[in-house]
Amino acid sequence: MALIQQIGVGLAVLALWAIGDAAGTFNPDVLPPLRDVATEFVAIWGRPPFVAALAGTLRDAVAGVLLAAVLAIPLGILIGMSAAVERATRTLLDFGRSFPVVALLPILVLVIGANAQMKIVSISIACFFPILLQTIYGARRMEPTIVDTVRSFRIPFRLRFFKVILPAASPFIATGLRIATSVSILVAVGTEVIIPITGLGQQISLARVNNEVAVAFAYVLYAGLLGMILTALWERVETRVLSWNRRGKGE
Amino acid sequence: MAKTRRVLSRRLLDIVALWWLPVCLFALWLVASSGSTNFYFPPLARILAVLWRDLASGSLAGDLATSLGNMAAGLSFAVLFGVLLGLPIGEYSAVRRAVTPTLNFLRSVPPAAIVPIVIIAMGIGSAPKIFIIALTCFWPVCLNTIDGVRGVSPQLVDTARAFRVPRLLYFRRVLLMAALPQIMAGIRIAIAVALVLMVISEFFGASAGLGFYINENKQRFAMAETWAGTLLVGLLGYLLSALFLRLERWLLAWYFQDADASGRAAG
Repeated sequence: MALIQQIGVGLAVLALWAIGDAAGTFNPDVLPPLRDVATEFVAIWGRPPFVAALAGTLRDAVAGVLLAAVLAIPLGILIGMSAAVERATRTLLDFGRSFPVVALLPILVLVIGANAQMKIVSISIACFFPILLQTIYGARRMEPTIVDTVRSFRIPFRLRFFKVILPAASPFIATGLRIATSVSILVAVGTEVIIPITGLGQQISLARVNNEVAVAFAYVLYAGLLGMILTALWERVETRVLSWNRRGKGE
Repeated sequence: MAKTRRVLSRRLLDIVALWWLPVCLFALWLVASSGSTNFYFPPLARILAVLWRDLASGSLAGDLATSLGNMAAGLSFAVLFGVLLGLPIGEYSAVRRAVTPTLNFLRSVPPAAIVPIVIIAMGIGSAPKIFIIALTCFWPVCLNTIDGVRGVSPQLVDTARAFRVPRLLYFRRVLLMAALPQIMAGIRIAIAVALVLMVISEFFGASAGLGFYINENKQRFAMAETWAGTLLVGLLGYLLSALFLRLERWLLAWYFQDADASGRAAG
């Protein structure tokens, strides 16, 4: 029943779109006719740049998240292990978090060049902060009994890092990675729109400049789908990998 | 007297603990870059001098005003429509369940993707930028409003029903107030998003604004100016989020007081 209603709402939006087309309500340069977009949504697979663009955005987004995770998770745990370090870095992290990475694009282009590496760097800078902040948060939220146990048994640093804090912080790290996954697609497409690097964003700009608004719209829809699928996939991985944690909490 | 002095020195210690690292890093950058002849990384002192020069001459100040104006206009539309739609969607659970998948899809469309479409269609003036910012910021505000309404305590809803509070009054004084903390959290996200879209849309096509200032100087290979604009955008992001956090604490003083009190009672 709920599913029927949900599909109904989706169809109603499409119907409104079609009615608006027929009545001439929408500016076709901003919202092209539904029929044209639907045609291009299928026909796009026959365009040579499409698969390459999809792969380019996906590959660089994943690479950016991984690079950010490799740097941010260990750093976050180190910062989270000490209250003094956490306080000293707080202002800096607040600044980094609120910094819009897109503003760095012109400098990155001049320094690195308009290529995939530059896109990966901009994605990983944007993904670095959500992962880092979640990791710090997770590492700070240790149960007092565990902290006391670790202290009284004089658990060595390595063991404490890998066997105590990392597992305890992992649900928070997972949240950070999930935020980073959706951020990565946003920043990837944003970078490609501004700077011509292989990807969906570049094709949107190109199609629009060539006055193929419906094609540009089809690319926009695929960009949305890519973000949705990646987030859903990540949620499944998260449930599987972290099931021990949920089970522990449930008992 | 002794007590105020102790409070003052504690506040001073807090400030030192929070700021010593950023200040040291800033000083390090200032010193390390002072003799820089690297084209891409000009001395920080020169960047700051350029920033001050262009702000004082009014050219960059004008760009800043244009950008802030577009952001404020876009955010106002987003908050207005986000709250107006979010309240009823959150209140009627059947509606909420039915629209959730559609909202989730629309939300996951990368906002930057529509920038070329909208700007080429509507021109490089302010209107397309306000439109883009409003459309993008609508999602965090609307979704947070829905969540906020969902989280309203059942006792509150029951009480309102028992007293037969009129519908409009119920939406305005009960739901809106109870959802306000979550709505404010949504607006905080929206401010960060607005800044990003402001910059992207001004990179793509503009004749004024901070993004235009950065991009134009980049094209002239004026590195100090490009850095100055980028730093200014970063500073703006930090100040806006810090100021909004203040506003939030002040506007929601009743809520945080409650939360603190109950937290202390529970602890």
